[in-house]
Amino acid sequence: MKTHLALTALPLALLLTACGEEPGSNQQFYGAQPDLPEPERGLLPSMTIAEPTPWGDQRPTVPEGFSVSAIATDLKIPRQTLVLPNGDILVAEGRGGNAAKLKPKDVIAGVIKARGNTSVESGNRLTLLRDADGDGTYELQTVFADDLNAPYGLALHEGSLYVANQDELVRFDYEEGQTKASGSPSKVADLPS
Amino acid sequence: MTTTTATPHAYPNILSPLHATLLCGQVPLFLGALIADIAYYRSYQIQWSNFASWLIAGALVFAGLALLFALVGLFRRRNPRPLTYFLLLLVTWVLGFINALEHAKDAWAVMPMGLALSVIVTLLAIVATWAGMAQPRTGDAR
Repeated sequence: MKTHLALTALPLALLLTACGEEPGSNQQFYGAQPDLPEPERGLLPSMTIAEPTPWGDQRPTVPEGFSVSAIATDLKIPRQTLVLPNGDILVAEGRGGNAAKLKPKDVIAGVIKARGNTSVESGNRLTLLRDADGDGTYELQTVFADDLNAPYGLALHEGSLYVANQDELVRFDYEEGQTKASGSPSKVADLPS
Repeated sequence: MTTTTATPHAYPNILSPLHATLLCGQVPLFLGALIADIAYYRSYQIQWSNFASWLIAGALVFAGLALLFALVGLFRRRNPRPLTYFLLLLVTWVLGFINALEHAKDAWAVMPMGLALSVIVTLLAIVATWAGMAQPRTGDAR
């Protein structure tokens, strides 16, 4: 990629000079008659990829009397939570990415876009957090179910826990107080992905 | 011009088998991309555009490696390869790369520039391959 760019830097630079105009500062991008910038059709995208930064010591600002602290760490890309009737929290962990690579562009863009993302591997699991004594510290962190496919949506209905995998909807039997699924899930339906 | 040292090669400009394979291999790949582009232009089926993208990528690999051979060939002490061949291949590759970027656009944004570039690059690839495979006529050996 870098050698390609280096070899062709000159002709590309010539081609790209045509599309780097700064939009005027007094442009109005909303309202009934928005003053939209002209569409750009350059050969190479001109955006930059944001660098992922860990939280570190930074915390969101909250009103007086509140505080923010992590109740669980070392999760593998948590995306969705479900609070169970007994106060346990289920966390769906996973990274999507079943999209077919239709063009060489998709392969290259995938590599570039991954630089703006976490390098943590997809967890493909559900983690259960429990705060048995109600002091705000979730002392139990355990894997509720494993071997899922980038789970996202979670719902509990009439003793069944429904999990939306990337490509299918599955169901676990759930009893209150469980810390681990009693077995592998059964499939409810395929999902388009 | 006297034949005191018998030339070891009967054909002084013959390409090595690998060089020849790489050079000739780009032609059907660029041609395939052109045909896919024509099919897309006529049918509006985006899949043809995907095919063209991959064929161009493959052609660039072949042409790029052949270009390395051609570059090295310029500096051979005995029978250096003609500069025109190298330049033709270089232009083919650069335009082919621009064509690859053009084909990276979404759907119909590829047209009509992608098709036009495919025609040009295919013709250039054929000419460059011709120049690379051609033998100098008896008498004007370098």
